[in-house]
Amino acid sequence: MNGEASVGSLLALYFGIDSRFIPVLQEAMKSCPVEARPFDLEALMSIENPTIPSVVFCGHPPKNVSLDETAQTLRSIFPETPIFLIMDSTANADRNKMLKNGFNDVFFFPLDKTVFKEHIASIFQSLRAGEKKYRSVKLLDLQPNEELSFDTHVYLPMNNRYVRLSGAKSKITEAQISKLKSRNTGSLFVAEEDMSKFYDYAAESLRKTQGNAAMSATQKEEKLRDSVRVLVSGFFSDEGNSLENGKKVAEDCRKIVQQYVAGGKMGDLYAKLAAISSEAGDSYSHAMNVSAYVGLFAMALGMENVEDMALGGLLHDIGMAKVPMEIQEKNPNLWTAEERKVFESHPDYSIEMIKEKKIVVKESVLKMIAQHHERMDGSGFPKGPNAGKISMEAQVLALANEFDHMMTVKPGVAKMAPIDVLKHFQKMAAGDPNKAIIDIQALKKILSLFTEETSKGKESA
Amino acid sequence: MFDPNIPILVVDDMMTMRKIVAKTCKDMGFTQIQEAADGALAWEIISSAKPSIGLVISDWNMPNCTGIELLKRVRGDSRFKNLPFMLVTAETEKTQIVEAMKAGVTGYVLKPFTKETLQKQLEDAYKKIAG
Repeated sequence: MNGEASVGSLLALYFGIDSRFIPVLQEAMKSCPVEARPFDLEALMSIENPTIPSVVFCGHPPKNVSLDETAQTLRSIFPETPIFLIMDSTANADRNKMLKNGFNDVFFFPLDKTVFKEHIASIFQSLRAGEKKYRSVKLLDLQPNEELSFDTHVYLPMNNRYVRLSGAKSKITEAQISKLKSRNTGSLFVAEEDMSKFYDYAAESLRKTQGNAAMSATQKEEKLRDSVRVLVSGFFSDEGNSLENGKKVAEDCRKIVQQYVAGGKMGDLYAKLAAISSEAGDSYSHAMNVSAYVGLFAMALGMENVEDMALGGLLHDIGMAKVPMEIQEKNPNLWTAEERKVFESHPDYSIEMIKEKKIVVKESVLKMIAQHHERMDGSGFPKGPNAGKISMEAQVLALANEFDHMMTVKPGVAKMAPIDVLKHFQKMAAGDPNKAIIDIQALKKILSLFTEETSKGKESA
Repeated sequence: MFDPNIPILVVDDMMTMRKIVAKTCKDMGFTQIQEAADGALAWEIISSAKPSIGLVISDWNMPNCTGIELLKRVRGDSRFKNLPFMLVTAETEKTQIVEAMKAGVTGYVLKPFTKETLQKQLEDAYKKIAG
C-alpha cells in the first residue's frame, strides 16, 4: 500500500460504515485490504497526500452533515475513485440527486444486497488480473447455425463453475439449443470482455429478423432490471409522497408490466416461463420474475385484470425494505418470536408503503399483496388462521412467488424445470388440498397448457 | 498571472466545501484567504474589508443570502463593479447560468469539482480579466 501503485495493490476505504454492513462488504471484497475510518470529513480532508483507495464505501452521514456535502467533498478528495453510498433503506434519500452530487451509485440495504455484491465483484475482478467475470445472455438472442465471434459458456450450479459450450468462430447447433432448453436453461454466459462482441452480434441478428428498433432479450432484461431498481429506490425519496408522484410511479410500473403482458396471447407457456425468468436472484429480478409469472398464470387461467395483477407482482415485496437486514440474513429457524413477527409483517409493510407513496392501485391488488403468504389451512402469515377467504389473485401471486424461489439458481443446487416445479406443487396439493398454495383445479389448468412435446423433450433429456 | 497577496473570500454554508476551495487557493499560491458561511456575512466582509477583497468564490445555494443575491448586491455597488466573482454551483440549469451571466458573474464552477477543474476555472477567469 505504501505508494506501490500496481494493479495488485487494491485498497478499499470504509468511511463511516455501520458495522452491520461490514460482513456483506467483506464478502463482496474477498481479501482486499481495508482502511476503516469514522465519519469525519474534516479529518479526512486534513490528511496530507492520502493514499488513493481503489474504491470508497461511504456510510450514512451523522445528523449535522448533509449527504450533498458528503458526496461533493469525497468527490473532490478522490476525483477518480468509485465512491458508493451504502444506506439503510429506511433512511430517505433521492438517488438521482446523490448521483448528481458525485456518488457513483447508491445501494439501499438490505434490498440491494445482491446487486451490490455483483457490482463490487465485477469491479474487483476487472482490477485483479486473470479472473474472468461472466455475464448471462438470453438463449433467445443466439441464432442456431450462425458463426459467433465469441465463446459461450454454461453455468453448472452443482459445481459453481462455468464450462465452455462453443468457441469463437464456431456455431451453436440446433441440437445444442434444444438440449439446453430441455435442461431448462434460458441463458448462456459470455465473458465480460466479450460482451461488446455479443451486443454487436445481437444487434446485427435483430436487424436481420425484426428491423432496427428491436432490442435483444438480454438488453431488455438488463433495462427492465435497471428500471425496477430506479423505481424501487424512488420509494425512499423524500419528495415521493405526493399524489402526483404516486401516479407517476404507478405509470412507470405499468410500463414495466406491459413488457410481459404485451401481445396478450398465451402461446407456448413453457417457452415463455423459461425465457422470462432472470437467473440473477436479486430482489429486483425477483420482483420482475414474479410479475411476469403472475401475468402468465393469470392469462393461462383466463383471468381479467392481467395487467393489474402483474402490477401486484411487481410491488408485492416492496415492504421487505422495512425488514432489518439482521432478520433477513438470519436463518429463519433461529428467529426469535419478535423477529419472526417483523418478517411476517412484510406484506403489511408493502401495503403501507404503497399507501404512503399514494400509488394508485386497485383494491384487489392491495388484497393480493396482503394475502400472498396466507394459506387456505391458516398456516400462512401475517393473519394466519384469521386470513379468511384468500382471493384467487392472491393465490396466483403466492404460486408465482414460490415458483420463482424454486426456479432461482443457487450454487450447489440443481436447477428445476418449470414443469417439475408446478408438478411438485400439484403433488403437495393432492396430498392435502388445504395445504395447497393455489386451488388444485387452477393448478391443473395451468399444467394442462404445457404441450405434449415439452414433456416428451424432458423425458428424453 | 495573478497577485498571490490579493485577499480572497470563500463563501459556502458547508464547512468542508469552504475548506476544499480554500485549500485549492492555497495550493495555487494565494496567501490571504478569508471564509464566510453565507451571503449576508460575506457582504459584511466585502463591504468593509481593508485591504479590499480581490476575488470572491461563492456557493449558489445558501441560507440567508444566496450566491446570486450576493452577486447582485456586489454588482449593485459601484465600488465592486469589477470585483472578480466566481459562482460554485450544483445547478446545471441553463436558465440559472444565464441569470448568473446577466448579473455579471466572472466565471462559474460546477459541483462536484476536482482541484484541477477549480484551478483551471480560476486561471480562465483571471485571463478574462487580464484580456
